[in-house]
Amino acid sequence: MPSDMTADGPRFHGPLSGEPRGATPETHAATSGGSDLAGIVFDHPLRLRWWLALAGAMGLMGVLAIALFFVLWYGPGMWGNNIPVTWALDIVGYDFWIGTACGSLALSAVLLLAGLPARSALGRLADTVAVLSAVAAGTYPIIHLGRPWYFYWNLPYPNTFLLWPQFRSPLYWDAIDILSFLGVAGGVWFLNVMPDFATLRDRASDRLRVMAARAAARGEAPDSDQGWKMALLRAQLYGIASLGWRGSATHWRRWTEASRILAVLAILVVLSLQTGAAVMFAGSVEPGWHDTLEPVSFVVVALLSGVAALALVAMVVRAAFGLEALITARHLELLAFVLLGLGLVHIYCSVFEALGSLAGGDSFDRQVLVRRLGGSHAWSFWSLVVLGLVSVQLFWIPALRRSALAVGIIGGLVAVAMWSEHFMIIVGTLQHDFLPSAAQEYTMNIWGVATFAGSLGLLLTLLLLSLRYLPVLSILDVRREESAWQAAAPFARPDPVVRRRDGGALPAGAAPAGPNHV
Amino acid sequence: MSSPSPVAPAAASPDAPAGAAAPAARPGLGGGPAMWRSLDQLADTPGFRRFLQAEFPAAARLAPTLDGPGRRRFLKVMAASFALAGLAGCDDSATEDGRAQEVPYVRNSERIVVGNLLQYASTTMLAGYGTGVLVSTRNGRPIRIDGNAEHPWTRGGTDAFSQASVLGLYDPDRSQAVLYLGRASSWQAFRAATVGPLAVLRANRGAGLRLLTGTVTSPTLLGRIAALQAAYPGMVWHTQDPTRDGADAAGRAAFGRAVQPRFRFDQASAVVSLDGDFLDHGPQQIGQALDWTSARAAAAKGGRLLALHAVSPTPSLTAAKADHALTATPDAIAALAAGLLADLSSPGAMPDAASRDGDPMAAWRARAGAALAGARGRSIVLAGSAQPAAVQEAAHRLNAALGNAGHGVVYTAPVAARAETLASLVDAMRAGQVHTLLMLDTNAVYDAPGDLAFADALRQVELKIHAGAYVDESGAASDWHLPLLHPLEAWGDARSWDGTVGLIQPTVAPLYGGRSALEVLSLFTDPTPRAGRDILEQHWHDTWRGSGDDAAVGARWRQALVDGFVPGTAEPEVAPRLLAAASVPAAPTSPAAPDPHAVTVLFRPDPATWDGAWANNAWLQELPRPLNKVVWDNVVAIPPGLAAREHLANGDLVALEAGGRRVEGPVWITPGQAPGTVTLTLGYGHVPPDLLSTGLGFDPGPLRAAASPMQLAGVALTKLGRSTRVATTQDHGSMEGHDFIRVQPVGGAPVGDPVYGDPHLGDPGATAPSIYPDKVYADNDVDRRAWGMVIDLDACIGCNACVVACQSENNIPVVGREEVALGRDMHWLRIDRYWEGEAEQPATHFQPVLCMHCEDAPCEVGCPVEATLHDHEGLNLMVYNRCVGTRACSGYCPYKVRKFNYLDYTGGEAPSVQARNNPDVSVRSRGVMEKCTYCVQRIAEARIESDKSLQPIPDGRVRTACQTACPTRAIHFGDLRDHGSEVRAARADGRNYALLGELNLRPRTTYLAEFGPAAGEG
Repeated sequence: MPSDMTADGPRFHGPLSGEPRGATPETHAATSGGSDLAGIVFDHPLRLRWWLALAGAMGLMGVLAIALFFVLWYGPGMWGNNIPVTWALDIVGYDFWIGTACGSLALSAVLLLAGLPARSALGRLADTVAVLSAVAAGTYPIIHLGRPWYFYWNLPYPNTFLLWPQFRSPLYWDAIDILSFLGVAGGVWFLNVMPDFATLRDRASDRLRVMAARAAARGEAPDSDQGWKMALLRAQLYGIASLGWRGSATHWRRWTEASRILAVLAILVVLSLQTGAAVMFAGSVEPGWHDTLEPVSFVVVALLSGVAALALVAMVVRAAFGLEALITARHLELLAFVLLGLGLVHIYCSVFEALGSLAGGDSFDRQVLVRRLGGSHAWSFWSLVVLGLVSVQLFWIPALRRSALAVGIIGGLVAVAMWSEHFMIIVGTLQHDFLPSAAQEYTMNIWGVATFAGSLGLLLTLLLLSLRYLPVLSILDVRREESAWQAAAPFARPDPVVRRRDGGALPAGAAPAGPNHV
Repeated sequence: MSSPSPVAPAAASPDAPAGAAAPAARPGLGGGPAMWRSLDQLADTPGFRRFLQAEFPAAARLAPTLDGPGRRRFLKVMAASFALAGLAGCDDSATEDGRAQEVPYVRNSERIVVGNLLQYASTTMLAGYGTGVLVSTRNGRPIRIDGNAEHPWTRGGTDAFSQASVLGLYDPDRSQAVLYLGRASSWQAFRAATVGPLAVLRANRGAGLRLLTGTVTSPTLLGRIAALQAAYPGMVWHTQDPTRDGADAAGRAAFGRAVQPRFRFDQASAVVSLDGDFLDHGPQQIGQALDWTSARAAAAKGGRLLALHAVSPTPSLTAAKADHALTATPDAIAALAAGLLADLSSPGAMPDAASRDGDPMAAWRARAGAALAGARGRSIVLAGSAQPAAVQEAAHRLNAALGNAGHGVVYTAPVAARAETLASLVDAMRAGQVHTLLMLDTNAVYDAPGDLAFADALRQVELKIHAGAYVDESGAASDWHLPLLHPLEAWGDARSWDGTVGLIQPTVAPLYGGRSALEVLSLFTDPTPRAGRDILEQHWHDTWRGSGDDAAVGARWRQALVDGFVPGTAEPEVAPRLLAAASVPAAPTSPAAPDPHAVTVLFRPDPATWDGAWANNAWLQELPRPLNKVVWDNVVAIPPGLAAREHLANGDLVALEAGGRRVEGPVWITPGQAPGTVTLTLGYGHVPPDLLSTGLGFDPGPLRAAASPMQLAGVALTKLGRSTRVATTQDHGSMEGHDFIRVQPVGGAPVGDPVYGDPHLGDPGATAPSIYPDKVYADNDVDRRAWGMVIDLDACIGCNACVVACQSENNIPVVGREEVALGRDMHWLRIDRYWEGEAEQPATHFQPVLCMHCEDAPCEVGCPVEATLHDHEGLNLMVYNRCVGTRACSGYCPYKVRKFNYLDYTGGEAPSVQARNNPDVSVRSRGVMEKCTYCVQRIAEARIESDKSLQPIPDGRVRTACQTACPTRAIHFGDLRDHGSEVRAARADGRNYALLGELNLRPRTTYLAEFGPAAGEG
């Protein structure tokens, strides 16, 4: 796509500064890209398909509700966990989701701190994937407990028994990490979406004004219009969510500072959470867990799964909303390169871990390695290798790096592979560690799968809702990017058009070209 | 002993429930109060009528009219009196049938302190033999069985059955009422209905009356059977005990009389076992296992190995403990026996020591022969009771030839009484000679060999009476079913394997309206039925009458009750004269053209359900069988070669067919099973409804033949192409190249690890660095103890007594087959079994594994809420009510000894079963982790005692449940900081090593290596 390339070219010439370029004080300054993104929110271009998707996701949520009911009512014995496999799909699911969240958030934070223009295409999606994955992960630490109603004992709260959590336990620090993560990821996400809320607020107000004017033209009261109440509610909700954002220079300055601080915190919390989660395993003496490389490989796995999930979501969103002009081949290529690079690092980690097991002289460790390669759950190792480590090597081919389909599919495969890796590490070690007499086969059962599928449903439902009611990409970032580009190359401006599925141009009524269009 | 307090304020008059309310009216009541449904029913009892007569003569006159309108008036007047009087409970005379009643204390006996342990010496039963034990009661409830250290046979040991028997008492499935044709009836109705038939029988001098029992050792019961015989001279008594046919025949062939050999391992320096079973489950196990292990330890101390040479066709505990084990087919064993006899018959003859390598059988024969030849007069040859008479006879002759009789081997008359056979009973039934059959505490319909078709023959009997603890197959097939009392609630006696008479005394009022076997027989002989205690006491008073006056006899009786046994009643030794061999025992002829698919089937009692008598015991059902670790099922044990040939995997169903009789069961590939043989264990495949055992496993009985009940050749094995899931607790039997079990060659360099330089244990020296922080103990605690355990693997015979004892002491729930199959069994103590060597000729090892109480425990680091932590005495504690159930501790535990309540395993327990729970130990809810605590409740008790008396806890004061249960004293426990303690001495042994010691978690539990042959001998 040479034309796109040329078109995208200047975008990377933008300065690495987070300062809003062009410094348009009006939040709803007229740039068609941002407006069209807002238009998606108001016009709901994918009505039927969105509803179908939502129905599917809600169905999975229903599965989650049923599974949770039984698990909470009867106990974690509903899952196939046993002694010695005390952690199975529950912790696999948790580690996978929190890894995805961490990877996504880390990417978003790096894009922001580095001021990379790709943030306009990927930042919002990454933030959303991070928050929603964390929500999906967040179900597990509580429901996997034997007595979930005492989950708060994991936290340091003052109590009459003068009992504190056990501060040496990696599980305690994991609980702290999750809470921190939810705070930071939520903060990053919200901070980034706040100016967009303001845009939406203004757009909603504009619509109200239009309605009122039309009503007045008909000689009726403003609220006689059919959609008045809903439109008013919307405007009010967006207004509340925008926290009084007016786009003043002070706002922008504080906002920029806060974004960058949170981005730094995000990277720290990602590292802390993933290394902490790794210490949950490395801190034991179990073969296959007790490994100093574990924290590094956990970070790599997390980044891989986060970027992979983002690639998949970006591909779907791009195709569904026709955002080819905003999520461009350059952005896809960036994702592909990141996946490829992380895949290589993962191979390095895996090889060194295997070498350590082979050369370390610990026969238990060696036997765990042998069982990973050929044991009853060898599928998890081989799917990690094939779906995760081999598939990303396809990105050596430039055409695949730029193909949305390829990036999305390989992203999906890598996400599955990372899930398999967690399964391999957790179940593979637990079901046969030191004493063969204590070894016991683990098999997934319907409830464990249902719980995981349900957590996916939770994520998808929330994702669909956010795509429906929030701008799919950051209006602000897109606009900022556009103004940066305008400043650099005012004459080669492409037409960032939200293409409709029917191929038609945007009808004037459906997507107002500018904020003052009434 | 006066009557102890019953469980609940149950008046528990044995009559009240029977007469007052049909059992149907008290559904599901465990040990609840005996309720009457209405005064109409209550008023019917003779006791009530006598009470009226005595207390209210006027009212008694009204009584006959109670059914009419006068009843209302009468009740109106008397209601208050009735309410206060407690009715028949106040009748302090014996009831109309002469039986005394246990009633609750109005004021507690001074000995019963709420919460304190009170022990009674008594006897539990296994296969008709007694096991001398102490019954531990708390708040009037028997909750646990402990060993009786003074008993001359058990010497403080127990076995899995005696440990589990306490659960049987509380079993809600127990028969609770007299049944007539399957419907609830009463003892009165039974007596009324049998008055006529018994009178006819008496008139016929007992012709047509038959009594069928299992093995009987009880002197009093034998006395009552003699009385029955006297009352009905034509009565014929049959016993059903197929395991002893071979032994009796061998005794008759060798000595002209049935004998029971007993072994003095301390006088032997070589032991050769021909499919011996002296360490296997059975009445002989406790005493002989202790004799053997202590003789072995003493020999090792003297620098020599008391080697055990064992050949067996199927894995057994005896073969598992052998230093030189050989797997051989039954035919080969017979040939080996004959061969050894030929080798050693002439004095001074030395067997050919050639060909030691190559054929394992020849090598074994040469080695065993050499060992025997080198130890004439100091050796033991023994044969298992399941072996054919020829092999057992060969063992007798070998001992005679070696001059062992009177030294290593002594003979006594059989302890158990023998009567006519079951086969003759079936013949008589078919011939129509049996009018009335009393089946006393036996389930012949289930366990009679299939070719007898006992159930068919039984239909020809006019009056079938069954007395048993359960409404089992025989109960269902009988006209009358009479509920028998559990030994923990009845009076009686029984002899242990050596003949010592043990007394059975009740420790709780009967939970249901049953009677003991003595009392049931009394219904047939005495005009007024007598109470069990009365019968028992009278028997012993009569027996001892010659030895002193009444006071002396009374004192002796009381002393015997306190001791739990009658001293000096062991069966005396005899010196039977060896008869000349009738003929050289020819090697059994195998079929001329053996069908390649034909197998020889070996029948063995199940190590947990025995012959089916224990099948309703949930602890035993869930007890991993020592060798295959299967639970809740019996299996067809097949050799690995056969499995490979027939492409059979564990759980595949096969049919075994011979002579038109057929059974189907799942196969289990069993290392050490002889080629061409399969082993079936008895005790499964029960069909009566509503029992725990219903539908579990398969019944091998139909395949058995009365002529050779323990072995059947020429059985066709066919693969059915279906399979089932058999639950097991151990999937992997190999040590995978590690040294979890170490073997100490006698006389060789110590294989143990050097004693840890452990400052916590008062040892000098530094410890190796650890990633886990060390527990910091307060220095000012001068009285600090360091609890530790040492398990002697040489003494461990894998018998499972400790596993059941732990379950009993610590209220460990039973989870059921499906949960075990998922890997959620809850045993805090498991016995790991490892195979070593080839699958055809494996060596077998046992290793009890429980919480190691690591000094640097990984589990404690994992737990985020500090629910598992170290205490000041080094115990790794588990705080149940702090546990939130993250299960991290289990994941971190390298021994995987922690168990998790994945579901609510305890909430659904029957109320009667809950009554058994040890009140000192929390019952765990769902979502909570649990594990071995070193019986911390016992430590706490001793600690409190010590705090009160200001005396240190003496060594031996705290004994864990597993330790007390162990028949061979393999478990040592105590304070490792106490330099005089037994456990510290054991830990200082050169054989001492830690399991996974290389992890440097410094476990407080360590092991002593097994003894083995010195390097050159192996």
